[in-house]
Amino acid sequence: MAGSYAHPEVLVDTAWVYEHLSDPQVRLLEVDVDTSAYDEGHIPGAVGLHWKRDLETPVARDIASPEQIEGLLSVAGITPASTVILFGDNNNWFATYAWWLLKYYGHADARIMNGGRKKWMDEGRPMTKDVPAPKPTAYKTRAPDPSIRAVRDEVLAAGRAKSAALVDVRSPKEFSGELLAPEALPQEGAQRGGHVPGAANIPWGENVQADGTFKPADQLRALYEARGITADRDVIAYCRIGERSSIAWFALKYLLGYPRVKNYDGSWTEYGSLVGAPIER
Amino acid sequence: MVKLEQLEQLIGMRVTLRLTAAAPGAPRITGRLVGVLRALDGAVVTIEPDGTAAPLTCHAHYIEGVEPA
Repeated sequence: MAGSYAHPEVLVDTAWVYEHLSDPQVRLLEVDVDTSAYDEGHIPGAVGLHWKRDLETPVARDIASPEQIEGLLSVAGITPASTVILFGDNNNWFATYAWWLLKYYGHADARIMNGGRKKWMDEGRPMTKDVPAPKPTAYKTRAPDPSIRAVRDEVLAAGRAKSAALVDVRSPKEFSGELLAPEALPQEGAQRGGHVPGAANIPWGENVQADGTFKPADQLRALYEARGITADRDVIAYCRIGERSSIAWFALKYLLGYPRVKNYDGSWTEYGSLVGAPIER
Repeated sequence: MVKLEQLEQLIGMRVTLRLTAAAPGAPRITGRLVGVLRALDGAVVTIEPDGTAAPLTCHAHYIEGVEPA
């Protein structure tokens, strides 16, 4: 399945997950864009996360704190030695974002279910409405890894001084400034439309095949290299709030093995509201 | 922009995609339409161009029209 990925161990297919449903070493976490999806049915044993409540701090805008993550993983029965499988709707938008957060906080063995919730359902695999009650643990995060998280000043420098290659994974209409958010969502969150100067528009969906699974490594490499996103450069991926871009970050860093790739969780909702920040349309 | 339903009806067939001037790459692609992946922010179309082994993906935003080839 994984072909010549740099880190094939970070992906599992739906059949692997099915075979490990009763494996106590394996813990399943579902994170959906549609926060009602989990309640309508989920993989047996999967614990549901709510992206807004669980993956962000409740007051100041920031990613979930170490204490939040510790609480979340403890309630889910996860230890630092657990194999954590993440999956969700919309081709794993928030599953890869949660995966990025787990890596940020140092969880060793986290994997993505290739193709996400849709592929599992398309294959007619079992679903349940039973909510599991795992035995709680006392999870402790490790020191955060800033090498995978881009912050505002780095993105400003990348736009002004071309210090890093920028990958904007939003739709072409968001990239051009015609829209501020995906067409189906309220047009809010940033004061201005457009993109960071010099960014390449490579919509996140170009990372995957028609069935939603990731493209083979040679196709991913061709996609990025054709747009100047090469392994010798510092790379920053962004979107609107950092979840779609986590898919590109995952593909570049773990499937292609690019050494220096960061995800910008502030993304366009931060950059597009900065006073004085340069914008291209 | 082409209607997604129109593309979905042609999955599995040999088609020609007509792309907008803003699209990266060639203005027309002919080959087997493999699939259409819909998401909240639009759709990405996968096509296997004639004479190549590797499928191409293209955001539906860039597809102006499609005809059976």
